[in-house]
Amino acid sequence: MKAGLTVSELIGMLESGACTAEELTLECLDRIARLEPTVGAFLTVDARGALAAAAESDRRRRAGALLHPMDGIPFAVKDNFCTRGLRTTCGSRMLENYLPPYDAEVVSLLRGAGCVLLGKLNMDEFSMGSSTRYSALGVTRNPLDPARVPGGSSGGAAAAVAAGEVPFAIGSDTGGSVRQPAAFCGVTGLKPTAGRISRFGMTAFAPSLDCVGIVAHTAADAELVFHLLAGRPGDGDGASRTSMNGRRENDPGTLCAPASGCSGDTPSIFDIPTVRYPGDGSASFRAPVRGQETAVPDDPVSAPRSAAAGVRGLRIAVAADGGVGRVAPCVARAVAQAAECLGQAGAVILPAELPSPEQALLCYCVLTAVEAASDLARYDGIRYGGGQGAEPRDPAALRGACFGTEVKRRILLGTALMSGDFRARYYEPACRVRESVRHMMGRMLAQCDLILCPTVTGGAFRFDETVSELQMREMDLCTVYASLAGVPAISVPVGEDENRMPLGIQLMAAPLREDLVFRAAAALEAAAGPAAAYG
Amino acid sequence: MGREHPMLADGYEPVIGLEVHAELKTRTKLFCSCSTAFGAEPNTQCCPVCAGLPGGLVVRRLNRRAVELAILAGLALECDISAYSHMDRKHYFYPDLPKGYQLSQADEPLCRGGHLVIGAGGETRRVRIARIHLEEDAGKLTHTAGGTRLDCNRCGVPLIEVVSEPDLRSGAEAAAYLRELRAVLLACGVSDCKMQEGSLRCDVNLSVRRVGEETLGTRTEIKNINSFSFVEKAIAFEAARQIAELKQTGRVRQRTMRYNASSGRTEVMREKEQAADYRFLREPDVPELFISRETVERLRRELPELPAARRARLQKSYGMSADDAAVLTATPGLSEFFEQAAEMSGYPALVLHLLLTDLLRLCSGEPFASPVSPGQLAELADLAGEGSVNRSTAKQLLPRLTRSDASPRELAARENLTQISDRAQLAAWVEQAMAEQPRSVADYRNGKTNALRALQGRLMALSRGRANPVLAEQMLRGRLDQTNQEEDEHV
Repeated sequence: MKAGLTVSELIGMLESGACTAEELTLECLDRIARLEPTVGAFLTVDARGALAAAAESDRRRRAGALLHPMDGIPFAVKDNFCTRGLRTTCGSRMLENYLPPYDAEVVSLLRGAGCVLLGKLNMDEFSMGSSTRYSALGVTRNPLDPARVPGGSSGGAAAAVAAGEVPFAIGSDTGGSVRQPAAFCGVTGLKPTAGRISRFGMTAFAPSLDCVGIVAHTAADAELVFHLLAGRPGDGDGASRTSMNGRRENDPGTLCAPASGCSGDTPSIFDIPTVRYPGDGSASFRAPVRGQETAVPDDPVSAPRSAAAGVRGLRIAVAADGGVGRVAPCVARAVAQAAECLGQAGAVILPAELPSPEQALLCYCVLTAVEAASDLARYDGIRYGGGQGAEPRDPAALRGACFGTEVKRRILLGTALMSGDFRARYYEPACRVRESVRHMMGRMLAQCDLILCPTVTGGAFRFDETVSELQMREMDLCTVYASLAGVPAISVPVGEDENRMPLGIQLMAAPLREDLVFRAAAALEAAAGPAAAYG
Repeated sequence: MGREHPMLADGYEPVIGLEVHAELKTRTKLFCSCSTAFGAEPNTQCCPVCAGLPGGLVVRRLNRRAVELAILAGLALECDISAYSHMDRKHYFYPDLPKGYQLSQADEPLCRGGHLVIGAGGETRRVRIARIHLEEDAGKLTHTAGGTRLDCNRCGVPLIEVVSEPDLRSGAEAAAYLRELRAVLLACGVSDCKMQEGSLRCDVNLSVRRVGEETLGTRTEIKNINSFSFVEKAIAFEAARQIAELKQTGRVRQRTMRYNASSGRTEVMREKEQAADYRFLREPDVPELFISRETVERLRRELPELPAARRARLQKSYGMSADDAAVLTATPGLSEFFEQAAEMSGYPALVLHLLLTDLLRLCSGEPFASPVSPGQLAELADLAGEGSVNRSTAKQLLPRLTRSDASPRELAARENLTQISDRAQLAAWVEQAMAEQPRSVADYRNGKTNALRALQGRLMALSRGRANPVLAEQMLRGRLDQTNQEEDEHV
């Protein structure tokens, strides 16, 4: 029984010969076959491809020609990552039969390391949602309680890892889409620094916020995968190595790095209150740029395992309610428990207060709707959609038939928000709010190493609970700051709610300081004991 | 270039602004490494990025050379180069646009506020340039009986759009502006400006008003005209059409038109009562551009001599006409070739003559590719100039020099083509020609001096073209006049 084992443990087993990659893959497939009727994490399982890749891995192992320590480890990806010849749906009827001609950058990096792709994971349609219920193509249930949602939009990724169907999974996080389902399913979810892992081949929801995310059992596993995927700073999104015909860049070059031009105006409809934070913040903050001075390993394979480094001396600012205001006692307890744990492990715990994230959430809703409306323009009813022969031939009608309600809602909203004077009234202020948030987070993170706050305001809800549109959007309340600021954040399972469903706490650090979030997350795991797996 | 337009005699004038799209001369596309080469099999030069596939993100890549070429164009047109610029998504629905938006520049173009001086026949006009911005090309649709086909090879090819102010007042001025703009872009190596390959395309914005009025009328836009003469014709037709519409209905409807080259008419593409809302959105995945003063100065040093300056210099240095100078600067590489040959020759005027009247006929395409070397042309001009061969022989020799490194002098000698100036030999041919054509002699004698030409022609034929034509004519005339005198004496 290898289900629920960590990547590190599986690497050990493969190395010792306790099992082969093929056996491991077979066992995952077997478990998928057994659990999927209940969990429904997968939209596509590629058993044949996986077994072939596993056999290749075993051959390499016998020949002593491993590609990477993770050679032979199975994984799965959210269905918004393109996989060559393997359908990539984004949870939408629009792409129900879409076969990409290329692998997303992360998929090709993982395959290139010998990892075995098992299949594609369910998601809210085009990542728009927080429960995976907006998938047009299947229902995913929380493996810990099938009457409850797994969260979203990377619900399939969190559910598959929690169910022990795969040791780790790749998701995407735009406003909390990896961290929130990870919290709901009791696993670890990482959103790295914006741009740190290439999004090439990841279907966009809102590109200025989209991040590749990692779901794993432990922080150490997440770190292992992170180092395989992350480029050097500034490399991530910029150094996409794949093109359809495998050629590399020649004359195009980056003329200059992005910088954070910012106006200090506080717009009228968004009213960001004065930020209080420990100490006197005067440090300026910049968006992640090339060459920022941080300890970033050059060679991801031999990267130091910061998870083992401990937290002694780290200054951790604790925002007990994440700025949300009153939170459920169970959530407050989880944060307090985490803070105590970290304090005992030697961290310096500082009290902090985050401003209410409501303005930030509003800003997030505006930005994502605007960008999504733009990104989804390519599904114009001519190129994609259909394939069954039953769809309308008129492009507008096809679009109407193939997009789900939530997607249509956001396209309409985003289109409206950019039309006429709405642009100046909503979109432009939202951009300025984002800058304010970046500055606020920058000032806070100049004063401490990490910010600790809840990931979610409660545990996973039941399918039969009525959750309003607004409540659904508020799922992102605690996670939206890290997204707007582009800083790395991890969700670690700590505590549980009144229904014994897991909760998550979140750790955020300055751009490119994933090492710090791994260290703190590992310290929490060590205190909490081994992660429980669904059996 | 007159400001009068014959069609507009009743007091109206057209007000014209041009939007010129020029494909930039880069090897690869604006946001990916696909080739920009023209003429490949459809959809063989595209990738997830330029074909706009799901996940095909334009991430932190921008073709540096494309930005540099756009700046070069701006410098050549004396624009201000923006220190800060960025790309925007311009949304519209059209089947040739795979992303549903075009990456272009809205409020922060790379270049602003330049001008181009155009002129012919002594009069010059300064046409203001509003802006130059960088954008990507769309795909190419081919409409067939079986349906419409889309070729994505052109998707993502870098373009600049050069937008003029409405400073032009006739089709002829528009054509002159286009010719001059093309010459500038060619000289700077910004674009190869091949209209037949679509690398230079022009949209015309046109309104009409009574001469002397200050306000602009309602304009129509004529899309995508692909030849200078069509631009001229389209403007003439559209201006007349608008005047007629204005007289008939009291207003001009805002429309997008196209020019039908076979009928010579403009046709309505779509009614456009309101300005389109492109919902410009800053492209999140392409970095902002910060253009340093050093970059601009480095590129300024890269600027070659511009066509206007070169024309002036050629006229001054070689005493050539404005028209000849214009021809030399219209094709890239041509004036450079001329100057090389002229430097090597003692007879630059002959070099120019042979180049423009004979050598150009043997060449096609751009840039100028000569089948003979500048040295060969110079030597040929020298042979003709010093009288070693006559001019018609020089012209005949030219095609025989192509794609060989033969020396014109040796070739002429080997083939006995050198000019014969030997008086005895010439006198013998004079006698023979007169003997063979007594009638012409008689005509000449009777005052028909034209008859001299027939005799001259006969003489050249007898010499197989080698007779020194000047000397031969002189001797022939002398011999005929002498005969006249002799006959006079007999009377």
